[in-house]
Amino acid sequence: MKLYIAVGTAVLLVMAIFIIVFVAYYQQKQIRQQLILKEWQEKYRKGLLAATLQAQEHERRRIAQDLHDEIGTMLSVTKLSLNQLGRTVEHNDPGSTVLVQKTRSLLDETIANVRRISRDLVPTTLERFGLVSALEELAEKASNGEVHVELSCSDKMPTLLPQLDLTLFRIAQELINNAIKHANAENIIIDLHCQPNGILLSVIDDGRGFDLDEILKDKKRGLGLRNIESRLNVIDGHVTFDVEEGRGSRIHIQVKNLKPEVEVEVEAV
Amino acid sequence: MLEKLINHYSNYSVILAIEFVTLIPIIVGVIFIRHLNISMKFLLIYYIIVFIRDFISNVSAVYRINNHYLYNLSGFVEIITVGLIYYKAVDTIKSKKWIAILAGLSVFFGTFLWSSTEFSSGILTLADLCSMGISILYFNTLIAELKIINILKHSLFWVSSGLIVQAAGTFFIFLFAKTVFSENVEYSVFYFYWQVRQIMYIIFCVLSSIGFWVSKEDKYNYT
Repeated sequence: MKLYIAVGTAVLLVMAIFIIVFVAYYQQKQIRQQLILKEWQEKYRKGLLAATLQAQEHERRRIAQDLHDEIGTMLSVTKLSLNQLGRTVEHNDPGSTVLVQKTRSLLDETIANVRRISRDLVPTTLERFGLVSALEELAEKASNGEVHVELSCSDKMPTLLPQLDLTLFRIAQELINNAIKHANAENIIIDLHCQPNGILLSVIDDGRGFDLDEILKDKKRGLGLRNIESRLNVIDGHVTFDVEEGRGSRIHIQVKNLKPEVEVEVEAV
Repeated sequence: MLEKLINHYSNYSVILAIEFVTLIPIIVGVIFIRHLNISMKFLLIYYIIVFIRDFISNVSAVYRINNHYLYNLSGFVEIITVGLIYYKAVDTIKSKKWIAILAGLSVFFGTFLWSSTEFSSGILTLADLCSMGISILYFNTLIAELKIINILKHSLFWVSSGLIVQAAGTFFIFLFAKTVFSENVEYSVFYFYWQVRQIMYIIFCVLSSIGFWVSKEDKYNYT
């Protein structure tokens, strides 16, 4: 009996140890594969997102170019023709001069608008002079009698990758737009600072704020905020919303990795 | 009484050693108590019950009072605790149902095998079967769900390993408990199998202590 119990116990113990070792080994092997797969999926998702953003930028550039080169040119030619027509009309039909002048001023306004839209679509200042100059221009453009936009930034800003410059600029553009359009802010501060572990961009306003959860719950709203998150996802950035309804908002963007894994090609002008 | 107890411990130093071994997981568990999840807290309670059982068993032995019923009773405690530990640890309803069925059936059939005057081979074997079954079920869940990043830092992996080794090591001993732990058997035979049972228990305690120790990593060990 003693022998049977001993053999039976030994066999069961060996089986138990085999099960334990097998579970530990197999689980670790499987989980490693799963983690690798997840990493690939994440990389692929980021790549896809980056490609979408790149396509978006490409499309903006194409539209801007078309506006400038084709519609802009056509409008200029139309203005020239109108000027000639104006001179003819002045001699033959002095009564129509007012109409010609009115049309000319409408044409001037349209040409100016086309130029503005074209410039807004492609941030040429950003590409030529860098992020700080582009943000300065953005602040200047956004400021008017009712809104005051101020830029505060570190004296020594490192030269960033064009992709990072563009992302930060687009985010600042979106946040300023939101502050003016939705929060009715009067004072907006863009704070750009270089930290030892990356870049910190903050947009602070004195508007009426918003309920972040409510906006993110509604799929029809908050597209801009989601877009910010998507853009940051590509460059491994992080956004913090210090917002509440009834008080000004503080939105902080932090980018730690100044050389992101997924690179987006930014075309030079 | 104290003098008799000390005398008893000095005569059976292995028993004293075993009580100290039970203290190891209790101490480690108390040290890491704030990191313990509900399952591990059940395990800690189980060890405290075992410690109390051993103490009462020793006092009973000193006064020559029957203490077999304590071990049979702790068979039920083991089934219920193991059931509760894993019932709380698994997420799927299917696994929970299986655990509840296994533990419930073991307790149900165990009550028919109750004996207060001798070791109940049936209850102790059922407890071992239940522990092995539930541990294997949990291992299966670990492999199927792949939620744990590092299995060596997962507390219930160590507990399950200890439980399965203890149950496998004592299964045949308890199955033939009527033979090896009967009053007619030679003391040397009884002592041999009792020691094997104690060694398995020590392994369970050591592996559970590792489980308590790594419980601080549990929170961050999920995918």
